[in-house]
This record gives sequence, structure tokens and C-alpha cells, in this order.
Amino acid sequence: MLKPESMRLRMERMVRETQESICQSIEELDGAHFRHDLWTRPDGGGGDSRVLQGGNVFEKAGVNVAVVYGTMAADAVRSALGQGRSLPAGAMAFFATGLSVVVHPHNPMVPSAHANYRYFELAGDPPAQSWWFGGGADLSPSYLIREDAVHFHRVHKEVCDLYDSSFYPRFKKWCDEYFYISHRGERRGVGGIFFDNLNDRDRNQLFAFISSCALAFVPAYMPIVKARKDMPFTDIHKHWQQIRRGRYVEFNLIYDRGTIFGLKTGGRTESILMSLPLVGSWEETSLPEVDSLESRTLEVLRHPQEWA
Amino acid sequence: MQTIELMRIRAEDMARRARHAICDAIEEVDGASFKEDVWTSPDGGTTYIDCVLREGNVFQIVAVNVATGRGTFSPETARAATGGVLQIRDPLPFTFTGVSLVIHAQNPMVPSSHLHYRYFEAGDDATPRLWWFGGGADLTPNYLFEEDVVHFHRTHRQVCDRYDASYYPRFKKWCDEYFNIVHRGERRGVGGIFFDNLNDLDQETLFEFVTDCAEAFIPSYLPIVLRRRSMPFAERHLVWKQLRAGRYVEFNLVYERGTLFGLKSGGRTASILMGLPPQARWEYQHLPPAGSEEARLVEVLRNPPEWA
Repeated sequence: MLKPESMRLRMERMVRETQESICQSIEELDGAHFRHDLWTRPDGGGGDSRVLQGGNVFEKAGVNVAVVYGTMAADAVRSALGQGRSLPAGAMAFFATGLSVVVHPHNPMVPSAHANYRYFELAGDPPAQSWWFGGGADLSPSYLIREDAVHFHRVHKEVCDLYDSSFYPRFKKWCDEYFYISHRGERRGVGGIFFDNLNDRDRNQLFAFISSCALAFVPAYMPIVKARKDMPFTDIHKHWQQIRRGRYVEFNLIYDRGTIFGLKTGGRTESILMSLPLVGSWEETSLPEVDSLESRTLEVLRHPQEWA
Repeated sequence: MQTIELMRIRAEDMARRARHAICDAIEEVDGASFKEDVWTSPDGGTTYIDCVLREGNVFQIVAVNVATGRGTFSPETARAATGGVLQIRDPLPFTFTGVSLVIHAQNPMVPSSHLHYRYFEAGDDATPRLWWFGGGADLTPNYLFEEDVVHFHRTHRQVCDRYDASYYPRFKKWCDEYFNIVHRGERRGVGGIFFDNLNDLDQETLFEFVTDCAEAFIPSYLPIVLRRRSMPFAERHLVWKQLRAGRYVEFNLVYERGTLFGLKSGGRTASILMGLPPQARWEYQHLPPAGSEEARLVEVLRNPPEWA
């Protein structure tokens, strides 16, 4: 009898294939190439970090795969989960694999985008033994172009709707909540979808769902890049983009669970901070003028809307 | 009773005088002027006097802030604010007053610098009063000029030695430990002095000590500025400066107790983040070539030497 392939292997293959196809489509559009960096984790596993810096279209793009395993303290597990889960004391064996994508283009009219899809397993006796999926994708424009936000959300909604009509509304809301920079009263961007600890149905079905989500990144994002990459812009627009990227840095360093967890548990700093933009600015001299493009974007970051 | 009331007022007066002395000296060197912004928290508890000089001739930004206020510690915030020293079970009212300063210069050969001195009092008439001083000053160069670092440390050491021969060695070490960016294995800068929860001498003596420290800032820092402000530099020096600014941001947003405490307890974001550098940069795996000026700096950030 053929043993069914383990979810670990299937997920790993999926994230590696997706990494390859996302990198290809970025390289095709940009002309520049990703630098590949294979690394190993001393305590088990490793990854494949790919970075494109100073391209023609993209200022910085990072597409990272990690497959890590070993043991971790229950405290660390809890903080990775970000919510109360009853766990036994002591170290637990774990396995995690995931894909993370961060793209920061040059042109301020092209939004930044981020996606992350991951699978986690904890060993041990029930109820500690468990598995779950997490992830999502979101868009961070410096200048809001409504049809772009609608397109990005619509593509993800279509994927969600194939599996469960409650997914998109729940995950869209979760995304708006997750990417909230509370000290600014703003979201990092116009959202998309976000979910975590997803294990409430058949594992194969959820794997199919997350695979479809990962595949959706290119059609959700690349058409926006193509449409906007040659739009004219001035130093004023570039400056505002850098201010927004400063906010991006604030979110990632202060609130992003994955970043903080990674940095504080001795993760690979360069891979974790690959998500940061090339340049972030805190050179705010004045607030955007009323009814300017900048203030209209801010308005949406302060009050998330329904897009799809 | 009367004298304790008085210390709060005297410490506030000291903070204001330090602010004036520093702003005057900076304006004289720069030629540009500070803008003052006074703000009171909605509950009326805290007053901030923010003084900012932006895009001057010598300085990119100088932010001086005097904050005086009151609040109530919860067990968590008491622990967070004092690094675990203050352990309480019931809410505890407190008052504080202090001055803080952040300087980022235009010329990459001029180091950034930071200072803060503050006085805390906790408790009310019904519970025993606690009081302590905290503070320090530190230097963050992009390029290492040993004589500058020695001068900065020596000036602070001279003040420390007048009070207690153990102060400088302890506070120098504390500074190196406090400004450690753990995930980089580097300190933010070449240090200086740092202390907190200081109440091991009588209050009057410590007040004089902190006053003298605050007064030492101008003679410890401005001579360095005058020496370096007209040094020639190239584009690559500016890029390196931005990369170092990225590390500065990482420290402040990931580790700095005051910043995180302020942001998460609903402090005034604009005042708290006022000291972030105007432009910060993140390049994937940027490693300065062995033997370069940049590598020489990183070496002392990894292994802090004795300077004075």
C-alpha cells in the first residue's frame, strides 16, 4: 500500500514551487535577478532566501522559504500563536514551513505587497499535538488607487469563496485588525486577507485552500504593478512613499508577531528583516493637506472599507 | 514631606534649564532655530514641551523634550517602566519629570547623540514614597574617531568620579548592555553612561549629580560637532549613515523600554518617535569590507572597549 505523502512534505513542495513562480514573474517584469541564499539553522532545518535589490521596477523584493524544526519552549509556542492555548510546560517538538513575500517597488504609485503562508505542527500527546495553517496577503499603497485595492481584494475573495463563503469576510476583517498600528491609529495598508490557527476542517481541504491562496498572489498583484510602474511621479510623491515605509517599519518592528518572535528567539536576522523597505523616513514636516491624494489615502488607512 | 514636594519641582526646573542651555548652544552652532510645541495630555496629567530643529545647517534634526506628568502604575507597567525593579501588587500613583534629547547631524562624520535625565516619585500620602533618578547620555557615530569617543566618555567620567568612583565603570557597562541590539550582536553606538532606579545616595547629592551630568552634555558633545561638521564626505558615506540609522530604528522600536512603554500606554506618538532619524535604510546582508572604516566601527559596536 502506498503511504500517503505527509503534509509536511506536501506543504514544503508547495511553498518551494510558489517561491519559484513568484520569483520568475518578478524577474520577468523587472529584468533584474534574485540573489539566492541557502542557509541552515543550527538547531534544525534551514531556508532559501531570495532577494532582488535595486531592480528596474522593484527597489527591494524578498521571497523567502523556511523549513525549520526542533524543540521550542511552550512560552515561545504561545507567543508564536499569540493567543491562549493550553500547552504543557517544557519544550515541545515542532515543525514549521512557510513562504513569505515582500515587494517594495520604486514608483510611489505602485503599492507594496506582502504574502505569507505557513504550516505548523506540534508534536506531543493530545491535546498538545496539533497542526494548523496560517497566512494571508495584503497591499500597502502610498497612493490609493481604488481599482487596484478592489482588484487585489476581489482576486482573494474569489479564492476564499471557492472554499467557504465565510472565509473572505472573516479574513478581511482579521487582516484589518492585525495590521493595525495602534499608536498611529492607522492600518499599514488597505489589507487583504489574514488568518491564523486554521485547523477547523479537513487538513487536505485546508491545504488546497492555502495552495490556491498562494497561487493567487501573482494574478492579484502583478497586474497592478504593470499598470502603474511607469506612472509619472515627483520627489514629493517619493518622499510620501518613504514616510509610509517608515510606518511599515514601525508596524513590523513593534507589532508583527512573526518578526518579534523571530528576532527574540534567535531566528536568522537577515531573513526576518528582509521585509523592511530599502528606505524609511521619519521626516514629517507637516500633515498632508486636506483633500490631497495623501490625505485621502490616510483616510482609508484610518477607516478600512469594504472592497469586494 | 516639604522637601520631597520640593524635589519634584526642582527636578522639573532642572529639566527646563537643561533644555534651554542645550537649545541655545545648538542654535548658536547651527544658525537655525527651534520650534516649540507645548502639549497637555487629554486627562491633564502630563505636559510635554517639544522643541524641534529640523533641516538646519549642521543638524538634520534636534529634538529636545521636557515632559512632566503623573500616572498610575499597574503591576505590569511598573515592571516595564523600571525593568523589573519595581514589583507591586496594587496600583501605585507616580509623578515624573525629565528632559530628553536626540541629535542627528547632516555630515555623516558627526555622530548622533542622545541624552535623558529624569526623576520619578511613586506613592501617595497613604503609602510609603519611593523616588529615583534615571538617565544617561550616549554617542552614536557612523565613523569611528577614537579621540571623539574618548572625549565624550572622559567628560562624563569626570562628573561621575566627583560623586562615586564606582559610578562611571558601572554606568558605562550598563550603557553598553542597555543599547545592545541583541539580534544584530551590536550596540547602537559607542555608549556613554546609563543608569536607572538610582537612589543609593541621599536625594540632594543625587540631584546634584544628575544636574551636573545634564550640564556636561554640551562640553562633551559640541566640540566633536565643531571638529567634524565640515569634513568632506561622499555619497557612500551617506548611504552608510542611513544603514546605521536603520539600526538605530531597530533598537528604538524593538528594545527601547521608554519608547515601547510610551507607545503602548497611549503616550503621545509624535513626541515619543520624535527622535527617529530622518532617513533609515535596510539592505539585505550589507557587510562592510574587512579593513574598511565601516568595519572598524562595527568591530567596536560588537566588542565595546574601555574609553576613559
